[in-house]
Amino acid sequence: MLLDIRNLKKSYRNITVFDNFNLSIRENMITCILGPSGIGKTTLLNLLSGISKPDSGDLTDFTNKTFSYIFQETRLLKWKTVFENVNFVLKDIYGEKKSREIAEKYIDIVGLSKFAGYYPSQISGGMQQRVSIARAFAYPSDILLMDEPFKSLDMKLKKNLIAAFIKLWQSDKRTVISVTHEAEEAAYIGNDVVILTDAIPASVKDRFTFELVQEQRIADYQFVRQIKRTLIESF
Amino acid sequence: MRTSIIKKDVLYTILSFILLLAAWKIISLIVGSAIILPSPESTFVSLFHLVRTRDFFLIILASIARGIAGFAISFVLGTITGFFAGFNKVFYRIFEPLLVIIRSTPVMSVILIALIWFKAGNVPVFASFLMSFPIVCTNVIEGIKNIDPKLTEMARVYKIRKSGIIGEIYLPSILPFLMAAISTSFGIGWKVVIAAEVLSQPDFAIGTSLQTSKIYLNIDKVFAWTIVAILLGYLFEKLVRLIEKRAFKWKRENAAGY
Repeated sequence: MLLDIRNLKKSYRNITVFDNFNLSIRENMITCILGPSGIGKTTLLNLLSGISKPDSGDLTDFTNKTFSYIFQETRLLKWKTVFENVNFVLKDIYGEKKSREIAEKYIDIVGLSKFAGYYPSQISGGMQQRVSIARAFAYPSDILLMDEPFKSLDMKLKKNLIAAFIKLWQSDKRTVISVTHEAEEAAYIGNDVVILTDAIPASVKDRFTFELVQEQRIADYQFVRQIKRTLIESF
Repeated sequence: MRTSIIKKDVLYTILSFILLLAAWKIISLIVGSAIILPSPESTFVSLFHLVRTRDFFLIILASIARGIAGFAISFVLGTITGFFAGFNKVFYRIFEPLLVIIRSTPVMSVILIALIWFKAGNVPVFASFLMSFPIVCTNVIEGIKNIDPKLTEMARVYKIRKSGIIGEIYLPSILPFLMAAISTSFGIGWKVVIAAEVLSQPDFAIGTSLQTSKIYLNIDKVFAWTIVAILLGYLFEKLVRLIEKRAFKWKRENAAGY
């Protein structure tokens, strides 16, 4: 199944970010949208999730969907513990007992069980980002949106986090739309990689499909290098 | 490590009191007049007698009750109007000049006008209410400005109910400002209550007692009542801090690393 974005138009004052923008997203796959900063990647995610409204265009494939969103910033509630932050998005949906179970499960997957009772200010930025990833996966959404989720992390942590992300995704293959300006990130996780033009209004410049399993890519860096080279040549 | 720091703090406080008392004693000796500056020991003797009088607790309870009443009214009204002004720009624009006027009005003008309008016992309540009200109101408005729209956005994406957004995002964002308002307005309100009591002379009041002591030239009693007022003010502040600590566990933990 495909989710279609048709004739999308969005402008802020006199800046047209999208004009007649079209893109098809494969369901239950990870689509990485690669483009330079300021091209409107965040705007696109906000339009898909309903945070902002398009001037015109057809987003009907997205209107009745539920979303998880890993924002650029962690957007955790600083007065809630790690556990409470994850539980916050679950307790309206599940009963108290079940939401606790689910929250604990996902906190465990991102390796933060020991820190479940900590407040965001007491853990590192990378750990906070992992909480936000756990929150996104724990929430039973149709589509997961990610806005440069692995940025501003050191190499080792980034790899760990990407590995954790892939593990989570393998267990529950939901539709993921990730925007980034880093080819490497796309090379690690993308099934489909969409490359945007360099100037606004943005359009799709190129599109790649990689059938390599993500776990293999993590294990063998050669794959990633190959994909990365292909992407950078086109980028 | 922590306990030794606390012990040291207590030590410094004690030292500070000893120095203050010594200075007081020396100056009172130099001045040599109990009417201008009573000695510390005569002040404490008269404090001791004061505490043993039949009306003492009635007097302080009456003053405390006025302080609490004034504070409670300003807290309730200030929070409500603060909410409206914080969420509604038009209301804020209309309301803001009024706040400026109240804030700029001299305490004495408020008390004198209240003397004309109210019974003696209610003058301090009104005066402290009017002085605290803008503080509570402004803090609530500031707190509402402090709500991070990014958190609200996040909650909307995750389809959190409106009640959840209000209770778990709005309120915790405003709470630190509200607590600051409580602590400041309690401090100011208490002083205003006593000032208003001096002028309005209700039957039972710290302010009335201060004024009567002054008229009869019992200056040691004036000092003794002042000490009572200081101690009570300090006690309130401690109480507020205690509540604050409980309410902001996440903040205190934050500071635990230092």
